[in-house]
Amino acid sequence: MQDGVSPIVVIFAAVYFLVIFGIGWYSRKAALSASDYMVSGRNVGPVINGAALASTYLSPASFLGLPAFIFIMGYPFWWAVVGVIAGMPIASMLTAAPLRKYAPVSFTDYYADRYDDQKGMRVLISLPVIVSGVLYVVLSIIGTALFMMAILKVPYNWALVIGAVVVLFYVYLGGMVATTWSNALQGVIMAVAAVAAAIVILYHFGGLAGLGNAINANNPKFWFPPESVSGTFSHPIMAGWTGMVSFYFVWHYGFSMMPYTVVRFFTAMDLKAARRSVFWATLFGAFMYWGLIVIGSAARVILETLHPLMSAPGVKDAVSLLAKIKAIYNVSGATVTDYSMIAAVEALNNPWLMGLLVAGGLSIAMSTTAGWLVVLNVILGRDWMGKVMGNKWAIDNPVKALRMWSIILTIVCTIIAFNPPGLILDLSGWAFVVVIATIGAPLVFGLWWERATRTATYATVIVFFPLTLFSWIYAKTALGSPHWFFLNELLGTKLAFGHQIYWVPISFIFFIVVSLLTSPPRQEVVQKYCKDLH
Amino acid sequence: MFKGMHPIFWIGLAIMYGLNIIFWIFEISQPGSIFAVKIGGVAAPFYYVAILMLIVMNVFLAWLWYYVPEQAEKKEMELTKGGAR
Repeated sequence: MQDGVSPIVVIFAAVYFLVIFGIGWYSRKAALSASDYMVSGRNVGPVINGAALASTYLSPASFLGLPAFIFIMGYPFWWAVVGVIAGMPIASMLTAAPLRKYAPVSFTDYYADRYDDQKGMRVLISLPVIVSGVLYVVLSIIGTALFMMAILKVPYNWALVIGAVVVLFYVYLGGMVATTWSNALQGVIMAVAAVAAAIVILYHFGGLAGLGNAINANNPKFWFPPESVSGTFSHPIMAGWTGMVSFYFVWHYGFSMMPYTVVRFFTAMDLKAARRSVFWATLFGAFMYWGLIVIGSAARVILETLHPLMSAPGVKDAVSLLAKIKAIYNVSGATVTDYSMIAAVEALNNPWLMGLLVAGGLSIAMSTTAGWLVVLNVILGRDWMGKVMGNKWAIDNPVKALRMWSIILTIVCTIIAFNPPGLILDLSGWAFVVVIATIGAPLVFGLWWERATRTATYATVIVFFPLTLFSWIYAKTALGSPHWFFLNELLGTKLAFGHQIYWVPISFIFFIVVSLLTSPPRQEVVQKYCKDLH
Repeated sequence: MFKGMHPIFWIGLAIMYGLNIIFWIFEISQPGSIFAVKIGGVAAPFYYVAILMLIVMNVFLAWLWYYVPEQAEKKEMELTKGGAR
């Protein structure tokens, strides 16, 4: 066995895979129908759907990315964590209930029907969804790889290949039926894993007071809020209030509008189950995030006081420790920072806890990959090939077409994951802003405003798709972080906005203005896809 | 715009964003580290951020936003049945 591999951790991972693949194998016959593959036959109850929703929505960006960002940015980032969960219940009345009443199959169906344009609208809406979906599958494969690295102690590239094969096999088996049941189980595992790790950490430090004191003794800057009179800050991005407040909103509206969660509203058995699913998802998510706050906050002090590699030559603090891990496992780019949470739990030297954590981590990574792949392969296999191009093979063999796209997408995303363009949470935040600023307003206003028009939808996607992509890339390359306002140099300012989130409110205002300036939609369409859904 | 949305949605949003703004102003107006603010010897954010705002408020709103519409729909159905009789 490879040096440092714990048999207990391997057993936990093996049992996890046996159970998850067992569910996939058991439900494989159910997935032969296209409806079951895409929306799980619409017969899922609220607790199961809620747990599945939580595990699909909350990704490695949560499990690894949020603790990593608390590790980097300090206490003010706690508010971003609150913002993610606070956005979840909003979906209940804003989009979950009306969309379940409408009951489409694919995410693009609503736009095509509401805006009375079956081909052009499907292509238009799918563009930002495909870009964001690819970012998400990439980050989920990275997450799976980092946990494979923790289990098998193999180099990152090998962990990536093993992770991609596991994910592909898992998604190939079952579609939405398998992913609903296994995701529900995964939702429970990931919440239990995060809370258990947090409890062990609190026990180690002697409770909340002890943990707070230890963090303060190790890194007093951690606790500084923005706009401090003394001029001290936890991180330059968090020096002003815009950094902290903008990060709260980056993921806040995602649960209501991101395709991979919105499709889970379609799988609920009825309207009541759709609303109650959101309650259960919020409950699972809130407890898991409490655990992540504790782990992320304690990570630096644990690494610097307990990790065995701290005694290695050249290692003097948590940052150089992560650099050492990066060198040992040949991790590409800044991805090793995402390993900080795993490294912190490793340092506690408790294989049972580590076993539970890898099961939770694999759960969250694989369920999100599966959720996004179902969205993407329905768009590409059903909408593009079948409905837009009229491809006979795709129409006659819907499940084969969907599975073909699962394979293609997994291969493409694995190749990108070898050298990812940012940290896991960077990819996630970027994906959220791209989707919400382009197709968020057409979804919400389409459901709730009879005056929302097709022209405004086209204009919003055409304007904000390139803007959200360009401003993020420019800020990252020219200013050193995607969280600096991309016009800082031009305006002579030093404003921070997480992931250029200001595009979201601007796009909503833009959509309203263009809708008011263009011809209203047909009354029968408005009646069916807006008024009748309330 | 938003015709047919139950008023409890807006009440819930007012509670959520209202509390956020109060806490943000409180933190930004602190002269130094938030660690100095303690409740029973524990850094206060462990309670008001990690428990109150993260768990209690969100779970409460998630319950409120399914329970109130369900009750309203139940009442409407009873009225419709009564009218049909």
